[in-house]
Amino acid sequence: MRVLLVEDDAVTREYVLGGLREAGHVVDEVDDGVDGLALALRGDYDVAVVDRMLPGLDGLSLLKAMRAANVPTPVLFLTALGGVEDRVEGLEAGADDYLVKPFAFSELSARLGAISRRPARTMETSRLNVGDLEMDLIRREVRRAGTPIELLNKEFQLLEYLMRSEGRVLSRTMLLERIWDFHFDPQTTVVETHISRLRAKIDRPFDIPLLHTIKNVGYTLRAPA
Amino acid sequence: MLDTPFVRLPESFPSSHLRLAMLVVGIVSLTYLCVGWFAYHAVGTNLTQRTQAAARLSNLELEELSRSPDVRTLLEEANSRGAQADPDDTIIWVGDPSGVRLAGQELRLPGSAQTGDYDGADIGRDPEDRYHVVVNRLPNLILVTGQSYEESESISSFVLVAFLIATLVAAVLASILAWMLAQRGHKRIDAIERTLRAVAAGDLDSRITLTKPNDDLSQLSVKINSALDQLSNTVAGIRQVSVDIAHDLRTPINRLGIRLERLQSELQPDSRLKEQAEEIRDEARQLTQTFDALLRISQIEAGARRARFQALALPEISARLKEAYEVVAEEAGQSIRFTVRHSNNLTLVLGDMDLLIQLFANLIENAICHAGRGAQITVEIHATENKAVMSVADNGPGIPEAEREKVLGRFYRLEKSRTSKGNGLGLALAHAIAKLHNADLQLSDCNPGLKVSVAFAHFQDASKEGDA
Repeated sequence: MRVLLVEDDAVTREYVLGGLREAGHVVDEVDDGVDGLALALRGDYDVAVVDRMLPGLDGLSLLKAMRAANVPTPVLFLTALGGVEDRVEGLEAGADDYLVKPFAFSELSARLGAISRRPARTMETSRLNVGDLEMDLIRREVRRAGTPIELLNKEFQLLEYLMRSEGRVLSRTMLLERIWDFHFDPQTTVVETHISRLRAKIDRPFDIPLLHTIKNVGYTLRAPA
Repeated sequence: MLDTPFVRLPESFPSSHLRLAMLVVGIVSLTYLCVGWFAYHAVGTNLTQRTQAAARLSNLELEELSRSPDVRTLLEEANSRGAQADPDDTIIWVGDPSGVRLAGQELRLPGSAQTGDYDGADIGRDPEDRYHVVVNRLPNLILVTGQSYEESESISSFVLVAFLIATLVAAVLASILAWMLAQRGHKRIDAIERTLRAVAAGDLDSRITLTKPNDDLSQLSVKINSALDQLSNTVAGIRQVSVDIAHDLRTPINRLGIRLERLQSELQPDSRLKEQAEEIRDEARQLTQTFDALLRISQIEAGARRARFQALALPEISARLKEAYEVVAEEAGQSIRFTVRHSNNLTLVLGDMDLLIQLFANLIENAICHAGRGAQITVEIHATENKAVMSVADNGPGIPEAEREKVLGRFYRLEKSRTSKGNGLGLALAHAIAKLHNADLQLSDCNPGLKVSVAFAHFQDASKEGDA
């Protein structure tokens, strides 16, 4: 994946750069908004990571200029501003996702995976399959190895998101935002409890688990190799 | 700070402009009436004098003729003038000393008559008029001439009517002008009021548009505008400071986390240090969370989010929370019940969905964390005449009355919960969100347990307040 990284803080930049290169991505890095825009306008990146506050040209203006020039590259905003207002402003300007500092690289990596492959994900389909787990989106039915499984509304949404993101890691905050539309960090185990209930229904009665916990990162659903 | 309520005067209360306008109309009308009255009298007196002078002049002309040697010259002239003149307007009469007519018009005049004013009926003329009659008794003749006041009276009354009409027209024009001026003044005051309301509702960039005449209202507007500039500069300054703090502190905290993560990855998997590094990372995460919560409270208290307020149904909020927390409470060995006592239209409020979700999520999490195993948590929505109320109650240990106010402050924690999870900011954040919504957050005793109720204005009332 070709990644454009626009970040003025050297420590954060080196950190993200190191992580991305280690994961095998090709990264171009710049530390100010004007250079960032010049590179972004070439348009051959799979995803861009842009800091909200930059010297030269701020992230929001950079993003607006990109969108005005019809550059569709998915953009993830990095920000030290934690307000909901800033998030809404960023998303309204055309950002695909938003990550508040401080963040773990694993969280960034999970989110980049989700937005860079988004076009393929939005394809209309009425059935999802992961291994022997099947989901019928029209009838809202789930079966594993032919056995019907009853799911509650949120469990169904959770499983659908996991199946659509097969093989990719979804972080706890990604699930909170997507499934519950929560934009704060709950003090209780909302995600963990729902995951454990879902796991009890789709995995426990069967031999091979599909739903895996990635420690300190999140969850992933994948078919056995 | 910015939500001082505006007291609206009743509409029927006359504005200072309207009172001034009414005074102007009164003065204009009174002036016209006085001038008219004087003009009427002046014109009347003048015309009376002219009428009397005309009668005297005519008499002097006859007297002049009477001095000619031939008396027939006088008599012929008198007959000719008498025939030409309208007997209703002019009197020409010549008689001998005994009162027998020698020439001129018919006249019924008492023998002893003197110069003076007579009614037409008394002298055999138009009974509706008055006449000035000059009786000139010469040694051998009596010369009588007269003039009707009719013309002068009709001119005077024409003058009077003209002035009355002018007064009326002036009064109407003055009223229209005064009304227009009053409207303009009223509109400008309304504009000032609208601007101040907009600022109070959070639109700090709103300013009074200055209009042409540089009068007292414009001066006032300029001063209000400069006060508003000052206010928005101050608020912008406060925001800038919190943004700077956020940026300047988050970046180092971010670096700290990054360095810890690197350190951790370089340690041997079974090393005891690795465990400690994990603990330090947890501490760093906790630090971030506390910092986020504090920053969020300040942002909410700055009040900028009101611009995004919209109509929200409280039952929708509780339905979303139910889908998140029902299983969490079950897992914690508690039961949670959601009750909606009134329909949507009575439980509609004006607010920000994300913030209200967070407010009630905090209250529910507070109950889950502190009420203990086996507790019963009740989330209830009901409406009163003035308020839509959503409450979260539990039957746990509750909060002693003396400490209830304090738990709404930042970092305050009850002695017994110091060791448990949480940063002491949950209720402070809930309180700040309630305040932003002009909602009343109350803590009360459930005997046993804690009940936290948040009372909102009904949407119709809240949006009216916002528009006005």
